[in-house]
This record gives sequence, structure tokens and C-alpha cells, in this order.
Amino acid sequence: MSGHDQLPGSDLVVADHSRELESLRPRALDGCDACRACALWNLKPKLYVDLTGG
Amino acid sequence: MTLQDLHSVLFKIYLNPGYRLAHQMDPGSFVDHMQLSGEQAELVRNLSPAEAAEFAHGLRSKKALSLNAHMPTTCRWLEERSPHILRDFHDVSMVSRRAQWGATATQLVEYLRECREFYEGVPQALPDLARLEYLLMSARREQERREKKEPASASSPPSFSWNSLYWKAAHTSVESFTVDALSVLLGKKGMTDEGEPTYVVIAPATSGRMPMVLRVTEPAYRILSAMTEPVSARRLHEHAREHGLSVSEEALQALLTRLACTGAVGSYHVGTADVGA
Repeated sequence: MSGHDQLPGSDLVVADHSRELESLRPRALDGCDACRACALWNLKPKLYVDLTGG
Repeated sequence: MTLQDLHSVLFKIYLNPGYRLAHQMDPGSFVDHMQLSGEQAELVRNLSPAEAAEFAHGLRSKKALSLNAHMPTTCRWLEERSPHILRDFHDVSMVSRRAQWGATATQLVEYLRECREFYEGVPQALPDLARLEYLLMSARREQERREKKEPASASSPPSFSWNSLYWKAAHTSVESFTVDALSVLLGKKGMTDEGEPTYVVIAPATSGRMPMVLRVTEPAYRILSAMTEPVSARRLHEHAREHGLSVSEEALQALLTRLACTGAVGSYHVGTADVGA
């Protein structure tokens, strides 16, 4: 096998995929981008989060 | 009539296409149906359908962006192959204003499971992939929260003893997937190339940017699933034997030591001298 870390010492763990997944890291969800709807209703991002559940 | 009532009616218009259409067709009847009165009735009656539609569209886009960030691979596949499923999901998906983080993403996982029954061509891997992406994002979120609270510091590995207690940590997920969702996520397999069932442990990492993701064997999955409460290593080994799981003492010790080191399982050291003292 290649592309992930082999784990000596345990036949219960097949592989560690943590490093492999690094390249898939999605962009951060920090804060709320300004958008037309926010500007239109002059809403604060918190309300947007409430409404979208996201 | 409180401000909360007005908010509830506005949320219905913004979030539910049916209510929005009813308001658009006859604002007066809509206001009566919602039992609004006074200034609040006036406000809703004068809400322009175009403004309501534009704001609703903004909310929907925002929700889609949020989902896309939670489940990028799942959403990309849906957008490219079955955009109608995403569209339908957004039409029917409602979350409480007080819903916990990730509520919409959790809904999508369940929706995709149901979809397999009434849409053709939904791969078995899709709901598993969505669930896997959700767990990864949840672990990453907890990891970032911890980093902000207290930056990771080096700690010595906990000592192992058969009397020591071990338990699955609060933010550790021990999951089984009916297909090899991990390989699909990593691009090693296609969505329809399902492979074997997969067992994984996902936990916030103490270093690095991505959570810890271990592919484990089925016996390891069954042992870890039994660790919802503190249990001694000795009892875990007995549990494995009772359930016919082929697990050597060395393998169990290595597994517990590794997971305790990374914080995926909690541990409380009990030395031989402590027992019966």
C-alpha cells in the first residue's frame, strides 16, 4: 500500500489517512460573507446563520 | 402579537416556497391567515414579492454555500450528476432557528439515504460519503475550537495497564460504512466502485490541520463501539473474546495506547498496585 502511513504494532489499525486527507481540506467557514440579501435587509450575519442553520 | 410572531411569518415567507407563493398571490389573505394585525400586518402586506423572492434566493444560496463547505465532494457530485436532487432538498429542507451547527448537513445525509428509494441512479456510496464528509468537518471544527482555546502542547504518552480505564472521547466518531467511502473521498475509487465495507475512527487531531482518520478492522470497530463508558482494558479483551473477535492482547494494547496518545479515547491509569488497595 502507498499514500498513507503504515502503522506498526497493531493489526487492528489498517492505515492512517490523516495526511492524505490534508489535500482535501475544504475552505474555512469563518464568518459570513457579505452578500446582496444581507445588504438588502441590513441583517447581521448572526441572523443569517439562524436562518440558514449553517 | 409579538415581534417573534412577525419574525415567524417572515421566516415562513423566506424559507418556504409555498408560503412565499401564497403571499405573492394574495398578501391580504395571507396576512389574515397568519392572524397578523396592526403595523405587523401592514408590513407583511406591503412586502414586495420581488424583495421576498430576492431575499429567499440569497438565503438559499447561502445555505448551498454552507452545505458545499461541509460536504464538498458530495455536493460537487450532485451538482454535476443530479442537480435536481439538491434542488428538491433545498425546497423541502427546514431547520429550526435554534438548530445546532451542521443541522442542514445532517438532514442531507438522511435525505440522500431516502433518495435511493425514489430516485434512480443514486449510488450507494453517496450517503456514506456525505456522512464521512460531515464527520470530518465536525472533527475539524472541534479541533479549531480547541486550538483557539488552548494551543496543543506536548504530553507524555499515557502508561498502559490492563486495569486502566479507557473510553471513547466525546468528539470521536467510530463509524462503519457499507461501502469504501474513504477511498471514494480520496479519489481512489469512483462513486459506483463501491468496494468493501469500511470501518473508521475520526477524531480531532492534536497537531496538523486535518482530523485523525484511521481505517480500522471490523474487530477494532466492534471493540471501540463498546467503549461508550469507561471500561478496563482487561474487560475489553474479555468482551472481544465473548463476541468471537480475533484480537490478540498485543494488538489491543497497541490500539488503546495509540488512541489514548492521540486523545481519540480517554484514559485513566490504574496501576497493578492500585487494584484491591
